Amino acid sequence: MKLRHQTAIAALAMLAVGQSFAQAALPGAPGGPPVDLERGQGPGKIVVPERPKPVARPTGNQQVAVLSISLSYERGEVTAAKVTSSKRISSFAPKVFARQGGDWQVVINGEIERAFYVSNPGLREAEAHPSSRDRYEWVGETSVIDWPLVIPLYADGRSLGARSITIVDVATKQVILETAI
Amino acid sequence: MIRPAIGILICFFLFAGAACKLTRTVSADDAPASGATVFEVFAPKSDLDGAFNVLFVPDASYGDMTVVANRQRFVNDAIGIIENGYWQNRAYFNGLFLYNYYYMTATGSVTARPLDADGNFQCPTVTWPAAVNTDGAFADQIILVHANELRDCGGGGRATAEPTSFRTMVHETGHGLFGLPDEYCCDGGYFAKSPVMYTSSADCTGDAANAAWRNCGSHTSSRNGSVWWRSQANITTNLIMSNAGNEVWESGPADWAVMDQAYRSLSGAPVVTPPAAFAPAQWSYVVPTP
Repeated sequence: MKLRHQTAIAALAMLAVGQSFAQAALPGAPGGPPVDLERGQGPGKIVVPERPKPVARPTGNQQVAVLSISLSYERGEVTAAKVTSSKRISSFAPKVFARQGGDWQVVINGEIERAFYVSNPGLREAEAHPSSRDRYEWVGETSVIDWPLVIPLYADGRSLGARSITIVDVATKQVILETAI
Repeated sequence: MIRPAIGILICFFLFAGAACKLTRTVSADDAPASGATVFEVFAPKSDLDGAFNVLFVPDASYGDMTVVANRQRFVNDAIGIIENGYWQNRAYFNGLFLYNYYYMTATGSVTARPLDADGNFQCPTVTWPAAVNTDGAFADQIILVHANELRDCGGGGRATAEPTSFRTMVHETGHGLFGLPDEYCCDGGYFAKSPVMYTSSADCTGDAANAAWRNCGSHTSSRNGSVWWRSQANITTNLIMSNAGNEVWESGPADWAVMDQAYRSLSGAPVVTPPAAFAPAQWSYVVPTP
C-alpha cells in the first residue's frame, strides 16, 4: 500500500473547549501529484474529549426492525422475494435517511411515512483488479441471497408507528416486496 | 457502567505543524458499546443518532477475540484504516468528529469462489457473524476485514476488504453512508442523483445545483446501454467514486454537495467545513509516527 507522504506546515490553536486547525501546505515533491495549496482552511473548531464519553443506550422508542429477506436472482435481476424472519429490537437506528441515492427505495408505511435508499443486493461491485484490467466491475448474482435489512422505527426522536414496508425499484417503479413488519 | 479503555486522540506539534493520531489500548475490562460484542475504537459522539457509525468486523485470522493481544492487533488495523483510509479524504477528515468507529469481537469469513461456467468472476462468499444484525444493527457501514488476499465485492452498506485496501473501504463507504453513485465508465452502479448524475443532458445543464462546477458529459453503461450524464465530467482522474489504484482519492464538488447534505441530516444539523481540495487535486493528511 502506497501512502502519501507530503510535507505540511500547520498551526494548532488550542482553545479551552476545543481546537482550531489552521493549516497551509507546501507543494509536493517535484514530479509528484498536485497538493492542495489552500490547506489552511482546516477542519475548523474541533473538540477532543480527554476521555471517551459514557456509552448511551437505546431507550424508549429507539428500536429497529431487522428483516431477513430471501431474494432470488438471475443475472442480477430479482425474480422472487420473501421475508424469512422479522423481529424488532432495541437499538439505535442506522442513518439510512441520510443516504442520498440508490437503486431501490424502502418506503416505511405507518403513522409517519418515511423512505430511504438501498442498493440492489443482487448487483455487487467488484474491486478493480488485475484480472479485470484494474477496472471496477458490477457482478449480477445468479443465486438466492439472504439479505439483512435494518429498518428504523423512529426518526427525529419520534416513533414512526411503522406497520409495513414497500421496496420499490427506483428506475422501473416495480414493487420488489411489500410486507408487514 | 464501566468506562471503556481510554482512546486518545493525540495532537502534537511536528516541526511547525500539527498532526493527530489515534491510539487505543485494549483492556480486558473494556465494556461493550453495544450488546456484548461491539467495542469502541474511537467514538467522539456519545449520541449515536448524531454520528455516522462505522463497524469493523474481524475474520477468524485474528484468532480468539477474547484474547486481549488479538483484539489489540485488530484494533491497530482498524486505526490504520481510519488514519490511512478515511482521513486521507478531505471530505471525511473535515467531519472526523462526526464519525464513531467500533469493532466487533464476533468473527466472520470471506472466501473466494471459482470462476463460473462461462469464466466470469463470482463475488466471494461472505459469512457475517449473526451479531451484526443485533449488536451491530445501529451501524451505518460495516466492513469485514480479512487477511486472505482476494477480489472483494461491496454493496448495501456492507463491504469486505484486506486491512490495507484503504481506497476500497472509503469508496464503498461513499455508497453505504452517502448513497453516492459510481462515476467511472462503463460498468458502474448508476442512478440519477442531483447534482452528481443525471439521465439527460438537459437535466444536467439545467440543474442550478451544479452551476458552480458544471462540466456535463455523458457515458454509456455497458450493462444495458443506458446513457448517464455527470456534472463533473471534467474530473477523470483521482476521484474516489471513479478511480481505482491504491490511493484514497478526494471527492469532487458534486460528491461533496451530497455528503454535505447527509452531514446536515444528522441530529443537531452539524455543519462541516467544505474541503479545500477537490479531486483531481490531492490533500494528504500525514499521519505521524507515535
